[in-house]
Amino acid sequence: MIVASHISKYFGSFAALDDFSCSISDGCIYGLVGSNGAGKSTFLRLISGVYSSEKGEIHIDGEPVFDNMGMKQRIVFVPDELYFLPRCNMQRMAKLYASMYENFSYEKFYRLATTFDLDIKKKINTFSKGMKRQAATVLALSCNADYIMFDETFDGLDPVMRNLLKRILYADICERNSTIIISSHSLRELEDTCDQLAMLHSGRIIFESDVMNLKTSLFKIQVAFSKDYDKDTFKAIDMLHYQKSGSVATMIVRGNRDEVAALIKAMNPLLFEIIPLSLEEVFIYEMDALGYECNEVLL
Amino acid sequence: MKKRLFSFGVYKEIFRRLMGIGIALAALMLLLGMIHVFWLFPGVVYEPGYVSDTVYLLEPNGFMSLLLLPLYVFGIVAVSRAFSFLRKRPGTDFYLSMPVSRTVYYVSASLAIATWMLAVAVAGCLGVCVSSLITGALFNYALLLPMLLTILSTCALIVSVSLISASITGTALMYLLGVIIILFLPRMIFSLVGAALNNVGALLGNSSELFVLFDYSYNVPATLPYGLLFGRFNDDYYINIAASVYTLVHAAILWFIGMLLYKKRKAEAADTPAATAFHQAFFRCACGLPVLVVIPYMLFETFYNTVYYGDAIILLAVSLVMFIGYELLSSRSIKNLIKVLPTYGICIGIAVIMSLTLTALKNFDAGREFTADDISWFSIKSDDGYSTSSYLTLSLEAIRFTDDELKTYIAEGIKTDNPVDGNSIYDITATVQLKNGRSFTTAVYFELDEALGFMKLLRENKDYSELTSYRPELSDISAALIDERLTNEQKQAVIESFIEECGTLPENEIASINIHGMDFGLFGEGDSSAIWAIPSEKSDAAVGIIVDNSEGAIQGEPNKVLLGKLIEPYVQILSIYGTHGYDYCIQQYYLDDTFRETSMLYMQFIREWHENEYETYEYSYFISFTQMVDILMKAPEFHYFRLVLDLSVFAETYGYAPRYELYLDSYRLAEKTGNPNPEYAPVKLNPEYAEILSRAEFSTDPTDYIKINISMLVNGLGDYDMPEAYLKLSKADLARLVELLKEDSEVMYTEYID
Repeated sequence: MIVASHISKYFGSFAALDDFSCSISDGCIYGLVGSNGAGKSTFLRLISGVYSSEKGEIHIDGEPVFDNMGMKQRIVFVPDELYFLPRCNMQRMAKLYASMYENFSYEKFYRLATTFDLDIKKKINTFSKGMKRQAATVLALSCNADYIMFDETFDGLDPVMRNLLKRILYADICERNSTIIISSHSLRELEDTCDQLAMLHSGRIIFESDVMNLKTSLFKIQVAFSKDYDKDTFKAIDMLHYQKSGSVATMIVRGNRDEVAALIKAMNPLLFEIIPLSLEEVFIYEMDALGYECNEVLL
Repeated sequence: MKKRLFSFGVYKEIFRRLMGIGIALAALMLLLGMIHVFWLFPGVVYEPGYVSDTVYLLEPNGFMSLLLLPLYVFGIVAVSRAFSFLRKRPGTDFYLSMPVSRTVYYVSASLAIATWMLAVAVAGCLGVCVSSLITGALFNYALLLPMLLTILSTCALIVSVSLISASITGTALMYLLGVIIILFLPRMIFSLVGAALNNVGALLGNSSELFVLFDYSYNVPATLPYGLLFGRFNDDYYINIAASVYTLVHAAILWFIGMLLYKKRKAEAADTPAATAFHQAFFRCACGLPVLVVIPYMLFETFYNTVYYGDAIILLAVSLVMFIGYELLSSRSIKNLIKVLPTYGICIGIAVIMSLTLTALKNFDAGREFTADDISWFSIKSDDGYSTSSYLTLSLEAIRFTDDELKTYIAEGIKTDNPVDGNSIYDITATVQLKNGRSFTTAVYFELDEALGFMKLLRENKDYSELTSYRPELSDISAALIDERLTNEQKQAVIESFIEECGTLPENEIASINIHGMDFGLFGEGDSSAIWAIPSEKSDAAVGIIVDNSEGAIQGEPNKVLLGKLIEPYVQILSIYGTHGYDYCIQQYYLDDTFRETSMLYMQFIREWHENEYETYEYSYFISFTQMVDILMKAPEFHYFRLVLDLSVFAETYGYAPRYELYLDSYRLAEKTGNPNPEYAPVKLNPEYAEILSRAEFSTDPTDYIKINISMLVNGLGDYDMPEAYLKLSKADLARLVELLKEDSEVMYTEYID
């Protein structure tokens, strides 16, 4: 389990992370979402032991990560900007990983490389951007680490490869109960991948939730009545957003869908419809409820 | 998990990454180790079939600087490649997230670099050995170990400095700048402080005695540039075990500091000029300091007794420009520059502290006077300008002089100021022990009269007299005679004769016995004053290991190591200086009736060569005296003509040793006559020269010869040189020859040397 408590990281006077806390349980896919500069990559680098924090602590299973060789055996990090040895091929990179990661599996490496249709003897610098990311992912997964961090990992992958990668990640979790942390500035990328999502803004988590809960806890209602009505008519409902246009009102509601439906139906509406929200819409309304301008937080 | 210090995976990876630079530098070192010989002896290259009867010596000090230069490239490039990830964020992310602790990476990478370092060093030594084997040039293989130590220690220090720089910088340019600053700046400041201390006052003594850091020669990588900077470039610094050990320890300390800095380094420093604001300030001030600290040095440097304010202002301005230049180059922000400009005060502060400290020391020194009565004893240190000490130096240092008159000279000499021009005064370095328990080493200055008086008293001293009157057991002497015209057997015969005659010299005849054909007297080499009276070496330390021409004799000689300093185990030339001012040196053929038998033998061999061997002589442009006279008689005109007539053996007759040099060339003549085309101004020589010379005979009697040397370019025929010839002329012919030379001097260019 990854526990970050009140961590702060500064670059000069800029606070990349400010009193940041979170906990990530084992065996899940944890998504970090936020605009550029929100602190996603910084957090990943802190968990990976690349950075050390000025304040607060990060522990994985109770142990600190920074410069801790034993713990780092259990972590692998695929950064947003990839690094490969100069003029090398995947085979040489695999050797380097194998010399450092005790659990590196050549069998898995060859299998995944075949799955992604990557030529392991070809110089990596001749690969396309997407192929390089696939190569880095193959190498990282072959390490059989307990904690795998991907920074903007779907960047540059075509839809087919994106789906393939997702399937491989699910399989890895199922096989080894590994924990995967993925960051992205695009919520859509993470919507159908993560179990848990955290939204970062200005170095803090401003919202964190289980994806399934999120998807079911908020919904949109369109309703119309023959009589006059206003927002106060729905006092009993936990409403995040209310908008009336003519006689039709649109509401974003949090709560039990059946209970809310029963409550409104009891008011004899002329029109009543429950519309499911996309994850992005859920986030927008949740942010709005917290007092954030959505444009600040999401792209 | 068990803590580790080394990762074979990292080692292997870095080793592989350095393969390119390692192999290239090893090949270069191999080549440089060999090139020295081929460069010096082109005959080996151009005439593979040629077998010389002359054996050349390969002295490491002659080529060490050449072997050390590539190490700067290796150290800087190797560390840069091994730690290149520190300068790029992707690389930093990659390596610092790997399950390798910073210590393990640092140690493993350092070991990979050290492996290539060893390969490079061995290649350099191997090159020397190979060239020795190919050319037959003599090389003392016992010197390989100190050579290897010098190369390794030098490289280790450069690598350690580069590691520190890599740990605190984030761009390639700053990395390079960091290496230069860390490698040279402390040494420069120490050297300037040391030099200033030497001028501050006598009682403080010699800075190099005070603190080894003030002696730049101990830092091998800094020796080359500082040696050049301070005009004391000398290859001897490069084979100095003490310096190598110091450099190695220095490298180890810096390596450890580098590890601490690397462990502390923040990953986010990649792509930024310096890892922290502190490091940035450090580099900024380090750029401003080198020029600025010259000002305090100037304050105490004798030459600038009064500081020239113009110079100081220029130095200040240059320092400020370097300070600003660094900041602009690294941060590229004027706003930032304005913000950090006040930190230039740190540079000013350091310069002020340096000046105040030196002033305080000077005042302290001036307040402490003493007389001869306060001196318990003193000893003399013969500073021969070399870091290696001769046996004489060490023996002389061991003598504690307590004579009252000598002590008076020392007490007065210490008070004498170092003159501005430095020419009219003589100095020695003395260690003085005061009765109050204090001791110091300092320069003692004498006027000429004082120096002569001091030397006279010194000779009367029993200990000194015993030391200087010591003569080697001549049976121990074996010597080299490098003269291509003689066979090995002939050389051996001349040397044996020379040694035999040395043994017959009166006790007081030998003033000094030298190696390298040079004398390091108390008052410096090349000084012809009568106060040259120090034997340079004694037989059991140096003369006894003078080389002979047999290969085995050299190769078999062990190194002589005294007090941790290496004495070269062999020399090329044996020469002996006489108390009456003449020097007897086989190599230079200055033989007179003191070595009559040797001279006659030598002349006989040379004559044989002239008569029989010159045609096979390797240098084809040399012609025999007979041929030269033949050309002189037939050639109508020359492009140039040079005749040297050395009458030194007639010194008693003339009262001095005249040496006439007649040098004529068509260009000078054209200039004199206003002829615009030198080709139409040929030199026409008085045919009487040829007539006189044609009557000359080769002499085997050294009391009766003149030394003559002629070279000329005959129009349409070529360029000719003639080796020095020793001729016998009738008194009438000699007088006429001198008369002709004097006459020619009136109409043509003549140089007369007394």
